[in-house]
Amino acid sequence: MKEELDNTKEAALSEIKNARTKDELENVRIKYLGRKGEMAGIISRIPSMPQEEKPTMGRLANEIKQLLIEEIAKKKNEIIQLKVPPAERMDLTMPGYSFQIGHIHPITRALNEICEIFTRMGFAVVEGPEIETEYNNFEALNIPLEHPSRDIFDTFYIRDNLLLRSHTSPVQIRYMKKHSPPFAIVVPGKVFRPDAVDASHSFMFHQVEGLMIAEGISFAHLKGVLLDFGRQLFGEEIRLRFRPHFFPFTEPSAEVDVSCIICKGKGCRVCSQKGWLEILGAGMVDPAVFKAVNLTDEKFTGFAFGMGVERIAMLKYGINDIRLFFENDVRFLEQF
Amino acid sequence: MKISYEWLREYVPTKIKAKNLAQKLTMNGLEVTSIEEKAGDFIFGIEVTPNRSDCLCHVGIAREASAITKKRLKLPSFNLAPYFAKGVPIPEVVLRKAKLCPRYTARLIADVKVAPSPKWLIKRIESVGVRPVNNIVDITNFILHETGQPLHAFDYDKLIANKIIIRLAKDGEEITTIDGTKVRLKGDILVIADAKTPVAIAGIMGGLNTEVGPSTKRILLEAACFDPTSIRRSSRYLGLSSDSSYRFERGIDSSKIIDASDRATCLICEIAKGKTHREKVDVGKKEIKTRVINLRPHKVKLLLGAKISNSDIKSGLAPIGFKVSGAKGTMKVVVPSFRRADIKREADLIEEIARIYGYDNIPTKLPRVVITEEAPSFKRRKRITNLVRKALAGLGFDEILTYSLISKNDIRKLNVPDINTISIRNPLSDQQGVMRNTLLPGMLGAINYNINTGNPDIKLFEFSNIYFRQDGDYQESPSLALALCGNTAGDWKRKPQRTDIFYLKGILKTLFEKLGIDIYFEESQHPSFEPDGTMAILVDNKMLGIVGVVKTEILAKTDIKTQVFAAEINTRVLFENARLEKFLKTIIRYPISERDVSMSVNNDIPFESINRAIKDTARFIIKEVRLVEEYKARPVPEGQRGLLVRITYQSKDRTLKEQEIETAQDLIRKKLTQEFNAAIR
Ligand SMILES: [Zn+2]
Repeated sequence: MKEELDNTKEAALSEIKNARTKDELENVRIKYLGRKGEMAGIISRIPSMPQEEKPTMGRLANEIKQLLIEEIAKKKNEIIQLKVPPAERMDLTMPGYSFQIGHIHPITRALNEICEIFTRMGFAVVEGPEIETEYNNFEALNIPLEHPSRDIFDTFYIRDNLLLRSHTSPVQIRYMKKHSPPFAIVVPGKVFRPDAVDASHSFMFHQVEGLMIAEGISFAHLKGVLLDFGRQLFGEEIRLRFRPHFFPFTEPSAEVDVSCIICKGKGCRVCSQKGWLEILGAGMVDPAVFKAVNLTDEKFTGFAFGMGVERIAMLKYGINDIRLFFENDVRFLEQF
Repeated sequence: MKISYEWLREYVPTKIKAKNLAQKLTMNGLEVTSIEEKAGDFIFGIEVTPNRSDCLCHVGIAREASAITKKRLKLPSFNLAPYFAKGVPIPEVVLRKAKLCPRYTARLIADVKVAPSPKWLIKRIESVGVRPVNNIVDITNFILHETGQPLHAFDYDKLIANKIIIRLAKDGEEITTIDGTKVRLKGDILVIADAKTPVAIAGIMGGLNTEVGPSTKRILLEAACFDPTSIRRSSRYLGLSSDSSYRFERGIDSSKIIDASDRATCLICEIAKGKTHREKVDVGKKEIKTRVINLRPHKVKLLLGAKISNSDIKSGLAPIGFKVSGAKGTMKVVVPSFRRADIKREADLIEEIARIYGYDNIPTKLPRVVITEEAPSFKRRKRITNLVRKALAGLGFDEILTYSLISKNDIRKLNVPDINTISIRNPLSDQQGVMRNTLLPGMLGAINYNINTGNPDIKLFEFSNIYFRQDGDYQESPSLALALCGNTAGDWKRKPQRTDIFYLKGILKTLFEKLGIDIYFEESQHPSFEPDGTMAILVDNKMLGIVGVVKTEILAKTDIKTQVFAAEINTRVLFENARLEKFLKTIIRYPISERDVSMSVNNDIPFESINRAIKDTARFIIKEVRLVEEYKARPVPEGQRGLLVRITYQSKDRTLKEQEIETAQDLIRKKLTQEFNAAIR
């Protein structure tokens, strides 16, 4: 009988080991531990055995029964964990499944990045309408109707006195009329100029305008704020260069160059060997603009600046044709 | 504007290298954008800003160079006396419009021999891109580029009655200009006329009839000053401009007119062997009041943020022609005549001081923080806009940016009404003739572009302004559009699938869930979408947007040969209904039970009705109703479809009993049978 018990044990353990599914395992359980199973058969014969063997065989049978119950439980867990054990080894070099993620347009990215830098400096983001009055776009900004300074501001008109803004500067006027200093704002938005489209011109593009008015704001502060901005946008190692320039709405005015981010100022194709790249225009708010918004308290001074977002994005992302922004080729978009 | 380095050095005896000078001029606000080496000379291309009319000539740039290099400015000297002759008449000049022509001078030069110019003169004018004509014309051009004063030489014997009248043109009067074009004038254009007809458009261009040619013996040399606004208006109206009009528009130094005229006369007499009368004609305003500006040194320091001393101010302004007096408190600054057009106020002087002091020498400081609050409504819109962009990118959509100006035809193609569009009065072309009142044309354009470049599987969105007229007002407001076509992403395991309207519905559901907006759909109509393929997107009975299958006829017109699904969202409703504030809903820990109901129903019964009927039957214990499968192939009667629906039961406050669920299931089955004639399977 001991031999029979041992054989049954070995057979059962082997079948448990080989069971691959829950159903197979259940069949094994029924075969050995079921009410009419093999163990039950053996145990039912114990009472008819010699008296002295009964306790030993009884204990042994119970031990085996217990062992099989445990082994089946263990195996069950394994099967649950593995579900279907791999029949063969997996080829792990096969590619993972593909997933798609969309992309934010590089102009949106650049706009957000620029605005966030200024927001961290305490500036508020303000928006204004793209359809603007001639007065806000020109006269209030000290750009008289019949003056050569208007030449660079060719403009789309909707009707008399109403146009598509040619720069974001009119929002300065709108804001200053409604708010009292001190304040610091940045104005992102679309602007329009009737330029024929080519690699560096577009009749629609984006600008970010800045304006800070407070007591004692000086040209030195303008330099400080823009340097901090430039470093955050292009990297700590850049330098800025301020060149005297002319804008009707600022005095003094400057054009601001950043040391070429490609060649670090040594001279390359992108910077036309100059080592500098023009990135924005800036200056101290002209008294004529203060007058237009009736801000007559002379203790308030301030600076304004404006930059072309396409230009910045082109430099930052190495894009050489402005038309790429509006073609919306997914091979372009998916790189951002 | 072109400036010759060699020519420049006639007035500033500096040895500074061309490249260095260019660099220094640039840093002084006269940006040298190009340097061209030409026959041992260097030609600078200089971008002169509109305020610096004084720098539109070699002497002007030389003045700046002299301040930069600290070399004295050396202006050309001349002596007219040897050429005076008695027999030369004094011309007759009548100035009728002194307002538009503040000063007019004329000199008669007789016995000239018109011939080609000497080599040195040709070299000079050619170096700045002027084509040589003859010695007389070349000299006037030379003086213009030397002094900035435009001059004009008439053939005196061709002037009817030998007379010059400065008057307004008569409407319809005509003149043929020296470039051969016939120009029709109107009443507000200033002309130089003889006794009968116009012989020049004042300050802009001379007439062909009185042009100086080989047979010319006597010339009338005009040196004048015209009103900048009038010149600009006429020049723009006629579409005519010249080196002269460019300078008059920006303002010339009227106190240097005589000098320029005399220097030119001298050269003409010398080169073309002419002679002139001692007297010249000089009509109009001769004396111009000098401008004196009060300058507060403390204001200079304050505005520039630099420790600029009084002597810095003096030594900075003097070399560029300003006379500074007074030291304590307020300084008095006399503006030189050549800067009158530009320097009018203290601020303009501060700019000059900063320019000469050097922007580089002004320190770099950070201001005290000025924290400015954004309008709360704007902050909210900004947050929502950013969230939408990020969510859609996360869902696999690429953001596009398309032009706000499109053609009217683009809008018509979409069957969208174009009566409320805003037109551009002066468009570049009809292609950009109106402002878009929908984002769909740009969307379809981008889809077409990408299909044509080999990328047919596209998911795009744009979040930008649209523009329209409403109640006579011009409106602009942000809009959100989505579109997709082609297949979903696939790989070796999961085959790509054709996208459809349900893909877009699912995207919208997910997007708005993220924004806290519980949307639902109802069948609807839209001119751009198929009549049986359009759904309104609603929230609390408000129209949030529209989603649909773009009409095949529209796709055909836009050359797209695949189905496109699109949606346009009203962002006003979006902004109003978005809930950004998060507040935890209690997680229900009572067990859930799932039960399936399988049925076949007539095709015309919408799933949404079945969905609502199920929910209404046992609202308090149903957590979710989900469509698991739609089947048509399996044995379902003709005109019917099979639907497998999975209902998730859960109570908020207890464990549901098996019997409750079974009762609900019975009720649902009964209701579906009664209401929709469904066959439960
Ligand atoms: Zn470079």
